[in-house]
Amino acid sequence: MPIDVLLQATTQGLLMGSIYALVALSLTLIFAVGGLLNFAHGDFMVLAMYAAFAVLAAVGVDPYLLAVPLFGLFFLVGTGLFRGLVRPVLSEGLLVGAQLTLGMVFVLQNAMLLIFGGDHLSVPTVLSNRNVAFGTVILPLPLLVASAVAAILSIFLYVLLMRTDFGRQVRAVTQNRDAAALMGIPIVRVQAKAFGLGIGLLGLTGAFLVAQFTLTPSMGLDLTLLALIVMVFGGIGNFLGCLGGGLIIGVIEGLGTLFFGGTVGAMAPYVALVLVLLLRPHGLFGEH
Amino acid sequence: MLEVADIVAGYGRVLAVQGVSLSVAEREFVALVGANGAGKSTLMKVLSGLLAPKSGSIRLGGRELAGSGAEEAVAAGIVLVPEGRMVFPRMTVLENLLLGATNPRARKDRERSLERVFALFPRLAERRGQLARTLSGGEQQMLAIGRGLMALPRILILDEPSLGLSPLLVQETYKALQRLNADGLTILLAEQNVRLSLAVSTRGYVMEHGRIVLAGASAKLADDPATRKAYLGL
Repeated sequence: MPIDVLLQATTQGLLMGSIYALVALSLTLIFAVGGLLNFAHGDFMVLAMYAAFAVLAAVGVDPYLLAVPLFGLFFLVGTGLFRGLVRPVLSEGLLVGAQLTLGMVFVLQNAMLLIFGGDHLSVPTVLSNRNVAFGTVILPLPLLVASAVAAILSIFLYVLLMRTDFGRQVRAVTQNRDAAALMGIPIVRVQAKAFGLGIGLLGLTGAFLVAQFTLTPSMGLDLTLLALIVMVFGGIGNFLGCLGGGLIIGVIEGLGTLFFGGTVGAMAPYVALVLVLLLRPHGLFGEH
Repeated sequence: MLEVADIVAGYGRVLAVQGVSLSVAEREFVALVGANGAGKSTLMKVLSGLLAPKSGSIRLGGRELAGSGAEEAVAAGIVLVPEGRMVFPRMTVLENLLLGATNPRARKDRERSLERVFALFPRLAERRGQLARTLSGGEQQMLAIGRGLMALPRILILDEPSLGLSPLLVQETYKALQRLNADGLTILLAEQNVRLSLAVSTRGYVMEHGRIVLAGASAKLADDPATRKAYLGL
């Protein structure tokens, strides 16, 4: 195996990994504040991609320009969903919450199927089909941009959670809800904002990722599963673990594809997950 | 200042608090004593807004707070240091203290409050960067009280602060409370440790089976034959 090829696969894996990390971070954020496992996570991102496609088709605005508006829109959708649907079932336990988000998967996937049809779609952006060469490593520009944005957002999210009043309040709600209430923290408002932020980031990421994927309405669940793997890999609820887990999973997927081809390579993250769970049940970076 | 009238509360059909009335005046140090299971902790949860009462009223400075929730209670100035301390385990001492000053009134004076708490408990200043779960029980109790003070309470309510502490640390905690009271802080203390809490407070209530059965000056309660027999083992 020539070293260039290894380097190419590893670099591309790291770039995909930073995107996985961001998706897993937003999944963790949603899980942290209310104990809700959002199975519709990937579908919200796919919805953002289709929205970007629709706007491009209708008025010709490049998907990259839609990132910020989609963030705002999805933030509002997220807070609304939290207050209307999620909050009433939160106290009913993990399973009822899982049923709710699985229900959202069906609603979202079928709505997209109904509106956009089941054909595979490629969405061009201004950066499509451009590559950048670093020595022998050649990287698609859209991937480079998407992963740079994901890395910046991950760091931003991490700083927000660890260094600001809002972040401290989110962590307080996560660690002890009653104690958080005794501090005078507006629990529901903090939960709704965190939920909105988690969904909003998917809107933003979707706009940056749209050039990277061939769209089909059913692809969301794969993204959710990868994010779940990263989350479990890094230790559930561990924000720093998500960052590390995302990068590792990206590289494993990249190298797996290189050595074993696309189909078997796509299984590599799952194999890695099983190994980690066997050896370190609390995740690679988990405590206990 | 705090007027509590006819509070009935509990979980499901079990009424742990069955019509409790009590009052605490400005700058007073009042003890609420009673055995485990008398309903003290449930009453504390109601006062702090964590649990809505079935009926009754809680007034602070004339403002009705019963059933309006913890955020309102804290904003009005009722601050609870809960049983078992409930510090945020995976946050530093400093972060725990900063969270205490969440309500808008306290947020403005956060830096000054922090200096005051560090002056009162120098140990917390030394350990400000340490995770709360790595503190000893006594230090965690200091942190819980310090965090309560950060909220700028008009009345500080403490639920079993002596629980799980060595006698020496209990003494130290109580001394700190007496100092705070001498500086003008109004305190309501719920305790199983009858002897000590009646020794530091000026007035007391005795609670049994969800009701107040005795009330009066702490010194008198401590001498009362019924209290002595039931709680002091004399």
